[in-house]
Amino acid sequence: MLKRAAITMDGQRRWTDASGLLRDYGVALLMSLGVTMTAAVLLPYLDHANIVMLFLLAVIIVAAGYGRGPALLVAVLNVLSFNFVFVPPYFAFAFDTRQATLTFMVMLVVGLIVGQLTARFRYQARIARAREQRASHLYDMARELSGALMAEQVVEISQRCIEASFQVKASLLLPDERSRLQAPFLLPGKLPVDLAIAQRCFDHNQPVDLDTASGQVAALWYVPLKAPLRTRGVLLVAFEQPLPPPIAEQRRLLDTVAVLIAIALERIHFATVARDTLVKMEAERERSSLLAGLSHDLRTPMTALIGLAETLTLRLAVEQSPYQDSLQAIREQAGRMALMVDNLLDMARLQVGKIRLHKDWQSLEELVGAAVRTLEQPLRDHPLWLDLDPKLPLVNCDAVLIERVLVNLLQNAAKYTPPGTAIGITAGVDADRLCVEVWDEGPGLPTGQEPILFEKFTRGQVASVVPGVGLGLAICRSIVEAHGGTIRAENRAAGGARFAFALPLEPPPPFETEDESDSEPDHDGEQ
Amino acid sequence: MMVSSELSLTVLIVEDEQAIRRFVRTALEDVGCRVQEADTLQRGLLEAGTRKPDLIILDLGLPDGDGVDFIRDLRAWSGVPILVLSARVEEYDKVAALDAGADDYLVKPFGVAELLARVRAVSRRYLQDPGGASVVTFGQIHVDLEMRQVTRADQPVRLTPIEFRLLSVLVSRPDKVLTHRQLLREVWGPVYVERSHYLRIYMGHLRQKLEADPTRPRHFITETGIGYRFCPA
Repeated sequence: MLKRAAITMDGQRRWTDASGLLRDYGVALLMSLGVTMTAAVLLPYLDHANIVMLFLLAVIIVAAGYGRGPALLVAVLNVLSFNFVFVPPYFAFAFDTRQATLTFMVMLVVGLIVGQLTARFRYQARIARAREQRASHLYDMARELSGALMAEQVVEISQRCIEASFQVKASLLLPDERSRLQAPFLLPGKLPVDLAIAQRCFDHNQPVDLDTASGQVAALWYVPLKAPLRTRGVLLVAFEQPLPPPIAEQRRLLDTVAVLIAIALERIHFATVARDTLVKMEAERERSSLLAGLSHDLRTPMTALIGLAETLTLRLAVEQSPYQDSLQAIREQAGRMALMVDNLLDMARLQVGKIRLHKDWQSLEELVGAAVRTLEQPLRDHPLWLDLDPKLPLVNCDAVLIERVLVNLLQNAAKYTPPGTAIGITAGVDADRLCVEVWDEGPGLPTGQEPILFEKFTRGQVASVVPGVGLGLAICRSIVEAHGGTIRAENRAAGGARFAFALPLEPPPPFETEDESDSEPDHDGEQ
Repeated sequence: MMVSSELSLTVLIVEDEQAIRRFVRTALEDVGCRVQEADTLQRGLLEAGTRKPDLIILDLGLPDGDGVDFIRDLRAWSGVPILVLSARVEEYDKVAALDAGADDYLVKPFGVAELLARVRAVSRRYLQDPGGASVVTFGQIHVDLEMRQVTRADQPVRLTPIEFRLLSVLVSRPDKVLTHRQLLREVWGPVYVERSHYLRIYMGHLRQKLEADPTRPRHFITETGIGYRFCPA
């Protein structure tokens, strides 16, 4: 059946070997012989006209069964044998009588026409059958592909189906994450694959089916797998022998197959993406619920400790107890520990997985104000210089996290400079960035240490007496970098240290200025 | 420092951690409150219904359910003030709790002074006559809500209508944290609840006009990531 399926529109037969041809013509010869003998036997009972019918019947049978060539042979042989056996003089060819010539001509013409028509029907039936076959192959393939769950399955199904319906060797080349095609896994036999050609086919989304050297149809075709969104790979088809030029239908069919495969691959791609996203979200949720739980569990005893110590302090103060100082110390140490726990939890939150930013339009002035207010106690011994450009635009950032950066930098300045040292914040716009600087007039940073300050567990002074585990700056860097900004530390020319960070500015959101109906119009507008 | 029997409130603590319940109870009883305890949300709802407390202190991290749902349930039938306790990681839970109807929050760990200050502020607001005063004075600022007049050190201050509306919403609820959504809805209307940059810009204007040092405000306090609080003192 498959051999018959390989017949093209113009009736060319491929892969039909010489023995098949020989057999067809042999059958035609035998048929002619048989009908002559049958007619000879039946001659006493039949009219000449009926004998002619028998001969025509033989032509139809051969035409239906074996095609045009054998039918032609039978038609000619029949005419000759009829003339030889049944037209007087018997057992001799006689074309001299008008009678005999007419019979001869009519038989030949009728035989040829009938043979021709029958052969054409037969041929069209075969074409129809072949098409049906292909349709059913395509259908099977589509069904199997729709059930595939992995790219490997798609490769296997495509290979099997294409090999079955085209009698060719086939394979798929799939790209990796960087759109580089990978050598085919499950390579059937040895396909002389040229990965460079395949890559070109993939990149330009163009099939390659011509041999560049000879200009002939190549034995190895590269068909891009075009899916609705992008090309998903390349289909390799290796023909065992070069095809003769009219190959339009083959090509159309292969294109259809390629689309089927591409869609299957795209579906699998998106299924994978969806699954990965789900897994990531699940992991993210688990992580944040773990951290929230941890935070709750760690803070609860701290809260109780601080609260109870404070209650007790208040009572002892009333009684003028000598233990007030010890209790006050417990209270302070607990407070410090709580801060450390905060830092560790923050670090964990920022380091594990991707930071989720709750961005919104923020006023830096407000964030600085909030940070300074939070640190009222630690900063009380330091003169504070705030120099913020009054025309600072709003910045799209996570308020809580940027306040945390400011708090950490101010806290550091307060911690590592002697009381009375001036601390300041300067902020301005530089092109498309908001630049913020926290400076102090303290001893400055140890030379050469500036870059590693932002590493985890690094502290400016080795074995310093100032407590802390050095997470503050690492937290700052994580936050600033998550915003697409930069942070650096350096010594000021005038003495002291400077920590500067910059955040990208975005075009401001739309803002309708107020219609000032019951106050004087503001000529400058509000924006 | 300690003033006994200053607050005579019935307080319900919904908190699963016994140590915290004990410390909060001690601190509140020292100032004259009656304290009831519940260790689950379920029990908390029940107690809230039967004992009719004057104040509920609710831990947001209870294992048996979502504190925000508790607040919504409670708000369906009660206006009792709710003070929420939360760990710092749960910033956005605090906003959800406040939006759902909680009155204020405390971040763990907190001290006795902080706790008592919040309890006082919350209960003062609750017990106050809802009409409120039409004249508010803080620092050098004098606001007459009825006459729509604002003076600073006896000099008139000109505010735009929206600035005045924002100011009146803030000063009418002293010491209460108002979330961004709440302020946007009340001042600009429900359509504007997502446009928080309006709030940022107008808050800046108010501070420019009414604060001695707008960068270090004393009255219009930023609660980062949550909202604003007006402190008269």
